[in-house]
Amino acid sequence: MRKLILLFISFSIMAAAGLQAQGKFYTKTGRISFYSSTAMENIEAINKSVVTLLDSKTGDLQFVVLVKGFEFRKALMQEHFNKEYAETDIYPRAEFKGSISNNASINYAVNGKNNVTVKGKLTIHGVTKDVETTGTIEVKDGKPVIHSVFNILLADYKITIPRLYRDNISSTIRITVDGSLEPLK
Amino acid sequence: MKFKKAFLFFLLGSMAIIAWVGYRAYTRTNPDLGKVKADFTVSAEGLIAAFEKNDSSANKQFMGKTIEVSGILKKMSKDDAGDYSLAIGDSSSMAAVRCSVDSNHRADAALLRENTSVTVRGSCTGFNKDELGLGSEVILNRCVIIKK
Repeated sequence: MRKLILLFISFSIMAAAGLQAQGKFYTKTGRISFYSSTAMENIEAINKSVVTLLDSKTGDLQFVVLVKGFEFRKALMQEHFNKEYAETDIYPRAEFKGSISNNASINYAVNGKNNVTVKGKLTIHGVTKDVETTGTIEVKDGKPVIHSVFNILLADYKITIPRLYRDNISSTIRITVDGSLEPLK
Repeated sequence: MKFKKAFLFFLLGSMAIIAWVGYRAYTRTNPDLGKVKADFTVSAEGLIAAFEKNDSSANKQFMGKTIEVSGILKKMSKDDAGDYSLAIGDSSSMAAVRCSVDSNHRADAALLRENTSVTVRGSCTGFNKDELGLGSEVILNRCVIIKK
């Protein structure tokens, strides 16, 4: 009888964990950083307030970021970025809406690192482009941790670098996305 | 000859000053907001209400400004890099003022406790409307803790 009760409790816990693992996960403190490297100088900026929502049932994935929130080490770079390149007064948000192509192969109830392919629409500087990239979703104690690194071409998003700064800013920018997601209750 | 020397000195001096001013401007970092006077002092609820009522006019008023915000610390989180993020506002509402703490002020943030009142000073970078059903948030960057 005692064994039966223990078995029942174990099953109940596993079922509850499974149910939670198949829901929505989010964070409001995701990180997106970008990096430009040229012979003249390296430029790096980070945003630590990225809103991310993942539906583990469907694999739908969304990011929203306020572009003005990117922090640079040099204040002058940050000012130029906001005023001249990203034009953040006109285009305050960047967002991604897409889904994980191989979501069915991820078990969100089991700890481990999963390689993923993500497809969707990325909107930066008011321009929306189809993108496809790879990354990982690592499940840690029932919580997914996402990570992806990909490159974008500034010209694709109609971001023009003045001729004077072309040696300082790369035409290709490396973007890194990180987020530790929590279950949405 | 004397005039030529004086002119040369003047020229070199001017060039040195221009180079120094340029270098200072180029390497200037964002100021520590603990040493900057706030443009506005508001409650977290008041700031959220201003953006929820009319985000376009609130953006004009608060965007890029240094704001001192007081309220209840609803949630505090520390990421893998050791940076703190604070959600300040009414616990019964999903809306909050989201403060990303200046990494030079991590030690102050570590002393904070959830569900206590707090005052922070940060730079407003905008408003995330509640489009994903997660609650709207006013975002402050480079936050420093003023009162625990």
